[in-house]
Amino acid sequence: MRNKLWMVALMGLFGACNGGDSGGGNVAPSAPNTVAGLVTDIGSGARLSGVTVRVVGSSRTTTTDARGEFELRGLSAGLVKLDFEKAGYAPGHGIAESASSAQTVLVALKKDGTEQSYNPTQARTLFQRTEAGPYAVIFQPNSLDTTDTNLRVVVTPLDPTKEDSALPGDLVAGGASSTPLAPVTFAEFSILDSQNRRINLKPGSSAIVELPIPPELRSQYKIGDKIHCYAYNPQTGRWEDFVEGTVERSSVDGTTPVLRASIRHFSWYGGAPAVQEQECVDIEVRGRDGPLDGAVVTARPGLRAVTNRLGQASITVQKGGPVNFVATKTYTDTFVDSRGNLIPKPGAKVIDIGKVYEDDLIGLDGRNYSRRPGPCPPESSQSVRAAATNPLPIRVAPAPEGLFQALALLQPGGLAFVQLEKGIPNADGDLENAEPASGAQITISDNTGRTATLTELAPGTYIANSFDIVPGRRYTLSIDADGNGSIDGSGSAFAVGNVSWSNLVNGGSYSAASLTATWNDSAATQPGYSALYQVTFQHQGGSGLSDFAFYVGSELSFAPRTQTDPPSPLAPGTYTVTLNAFSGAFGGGNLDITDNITGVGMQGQIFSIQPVNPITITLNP
Amino acid sequence: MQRVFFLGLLLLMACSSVLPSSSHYVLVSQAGSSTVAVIDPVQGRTVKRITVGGLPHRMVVGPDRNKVYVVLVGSQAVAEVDARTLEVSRTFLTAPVPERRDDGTPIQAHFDQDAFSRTSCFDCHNPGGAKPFIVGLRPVGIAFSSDFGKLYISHIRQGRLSEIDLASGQVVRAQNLPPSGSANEAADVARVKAKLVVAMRPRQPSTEASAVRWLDEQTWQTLAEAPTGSDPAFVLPLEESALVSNFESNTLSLHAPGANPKSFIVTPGPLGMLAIGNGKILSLNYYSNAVSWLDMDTGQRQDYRLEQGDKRFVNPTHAALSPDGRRAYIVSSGTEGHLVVFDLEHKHVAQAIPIDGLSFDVVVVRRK
Repeated sequence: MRNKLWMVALMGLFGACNGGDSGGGNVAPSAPNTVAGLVTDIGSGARLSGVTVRVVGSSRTTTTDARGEFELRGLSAGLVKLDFEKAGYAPGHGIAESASSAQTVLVALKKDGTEQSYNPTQARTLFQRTEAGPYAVIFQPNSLDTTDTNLRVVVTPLDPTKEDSALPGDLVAGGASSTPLAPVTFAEFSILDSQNRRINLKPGSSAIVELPIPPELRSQYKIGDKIHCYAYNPQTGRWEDFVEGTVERSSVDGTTPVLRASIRHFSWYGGAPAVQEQECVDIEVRGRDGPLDGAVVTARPGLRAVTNRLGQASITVQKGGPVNFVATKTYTDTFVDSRGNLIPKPGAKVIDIGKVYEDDLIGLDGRNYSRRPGPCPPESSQSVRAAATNPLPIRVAPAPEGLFQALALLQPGGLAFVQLEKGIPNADGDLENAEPASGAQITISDNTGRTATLTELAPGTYIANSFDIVPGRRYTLSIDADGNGSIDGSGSAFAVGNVSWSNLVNGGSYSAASLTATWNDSAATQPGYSALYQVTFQHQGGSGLSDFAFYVGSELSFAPRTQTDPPSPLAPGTYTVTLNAFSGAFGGGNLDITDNITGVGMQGQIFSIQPVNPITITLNP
Repeated sequence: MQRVFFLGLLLLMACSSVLPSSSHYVLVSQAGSSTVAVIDPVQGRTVKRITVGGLPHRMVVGPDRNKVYVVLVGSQAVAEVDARTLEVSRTFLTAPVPERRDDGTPIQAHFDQDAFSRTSCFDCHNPGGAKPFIVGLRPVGIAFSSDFGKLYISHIRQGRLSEIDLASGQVVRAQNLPPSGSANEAADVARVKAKLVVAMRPRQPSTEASAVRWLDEQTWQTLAEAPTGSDPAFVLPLEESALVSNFESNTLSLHAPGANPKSFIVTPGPLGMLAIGNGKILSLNYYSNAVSWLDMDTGQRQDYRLEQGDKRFVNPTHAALSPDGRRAYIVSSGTEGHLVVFDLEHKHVAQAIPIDGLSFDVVVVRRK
């Protein structure tokens, strides 16, 4: 007996070491009614420490540790609703199952949008501009439930085609046959008074919000279409108050297609029609030692399943659309007490994470996995079902420590180049003490099925040999930054199309009063393509407001006007005209290049730029 | 030994005996799943799901209570459900299948598949079928003619009013109603004696004026029109008047031809309304997760939140009265759906039966 106890204790010790070092975890049962979690920045992927975690409906709170992790033990069985709060970030919310084994909730927080002041006695439109267009809220006077006249309004946009992991709650219409809701466009609206308290609309009052349709979805949702809109209720953990919004032109810029809807409660808000065509995907989650039982697989918010003893789970997804699958496995370490009982060790845990972005599967392992007509059968019948013959593999491993940062350039007609660094994130999520990151596994694929593995040319510098970047194609990078077999981050962007002037030629003469400069982009009609064009007209030898005109936007034409108030046609003379095209993510008032490579412990930017050779033209009166 | 066997048999019989069941079924339109749920309120569960078509919303019960008509907002059709067999017996188009798109180009698939002979767009535009799933002029409102031989259907798009002959299942009359200012959507229709009442609203979201228009049932000539609150959602026909719920302005307005509307304030988001006798109205207030109990004679109002213990039932849409008049069946239409049984005597939630999220309307039929 003593020998047996000794062996068990040794196994526990091995398990603990194994879990801590490699994430293989131990084989001891996880602590029941325990929810562990990891909170990251959706933009940078950095682990966020000091995040307050509250259990909704109870006084239980905790704070994420230096690794961005938390653990809550001894919870009541069933669904647990959690609120996450950190200064500078939009409120986050999560749902986890408190069950017989510990489960993980991964929460990604999004940095607040720009704060804007507002006096609620006035009608006003406030907006936050992004690459997708302006996110706006239109207030009626005296509609807010406050007498404070010094309010701050924060609109935090969220593009669910890229950032759906930051959406709170379950986007599912429940019932006998649960219907997934397909997220289209979302934002979080926070209104804060002088005392930093959250303010909402008066009961019975409403406001109008406008949320841009993401470029990738504009071919699906046309002007005049109706889309169901929902507000997230943190108290119930549900999306509620569904009303129809209409796709219209933005009242801010007059061009962007936006979802315009009435809102009664400021929180997370957005549009998500019911998914009519569903498919069932078989997943297999594997760790270093083989299939993993009890791993949680998430497709979109609310589309969740837990693997069985074969490491398999089935999950209902929207037919046709690419899905990002995330699998997590939590190990809570144990020790053996003097009576031979396995006891959870407080605070000790390992969270393994694996991600598969379906867009990345082109040409890669798992591309041929099967999808069956959905929805999936109920879980009760899943536990006894036969092993799936061709499941989608998701490999999990510990999320990387520190933070990796990637800079990827797609050179149209040229090469793909990636620079990867590793460092420690500071309070703003930016890297400090960054060093080149060697040993990464980076693959690139395009939307025609071509794929290549990048080679490391120099420490932290990776390049795809013999892989030409074709203008107008969409490219996806998958980065296993620490080379441990699981994808830590990925992102995609279009290579800029072939851009050229259509009505201007070098040496040409034009009427300053009637000139509208137009240009072509060979990729302009690609679904989801939305390039940013920068055009300048600079009077040679001139430097005044009448000598310069510029344009930054996504249109393919521009009437050059002076920077005077009011604007007027440019002064006659000889001008140097430049045209640059950019494809990637950008946002904010200054149109900064923003992160579009995301993951846990991973951030970065993938983009493409094409400068057109400057031309010289003459403007006549 | 024989006694033991007998006792065991008794226990077995007790366990396997037929569960008690209700004298009536409650039918709920489940917009998210293209179905109507058949609910036994005694068993407290859905006993059958009838696939009817895209976005089933409003429902009305025929005068003999043998037929239920379900408006399919997404399929430009009405489904007729036989209340005895609990099957779809027929479907009717509420407007013709178009030959061309808005831009004038022909819809070739409609010719190739003879879509013009179909009686519901759901035949082709269904999950897994032709795209888009939601098509047509968005029929929403429904009312019987005076002789119950026809149905009047109002459409969101084009402000269209259609008349369907129930014998033939054909649209026998249709008219795009002239807008009232910017109000160009026919959000609902009801019949008060020989007059039709149509709620006209602007495209939502909007805070612009809406209108209630009275039409002669036979000629569809306008008899009267009056402004109403923002976003009229439902018209409840009364003896000589009509009560309109104004979703965005949180009021119910009582309209009678030629008279100024009388307004009652309720809690935010009134949608469905249920007459519960003696001039009392139960208003289903979507945004406030509550019902208002309104005495139209005195104007007095009491509000009740839809709660049971710590459970809240959100976004009530419509309600139906139980045959004994003692309970209201209320659809709670959040993403987590419930049929809430509201005790009208004690004014509290007595029971909550899970249904699909995003459900909408409810009717009661006899169990055959």
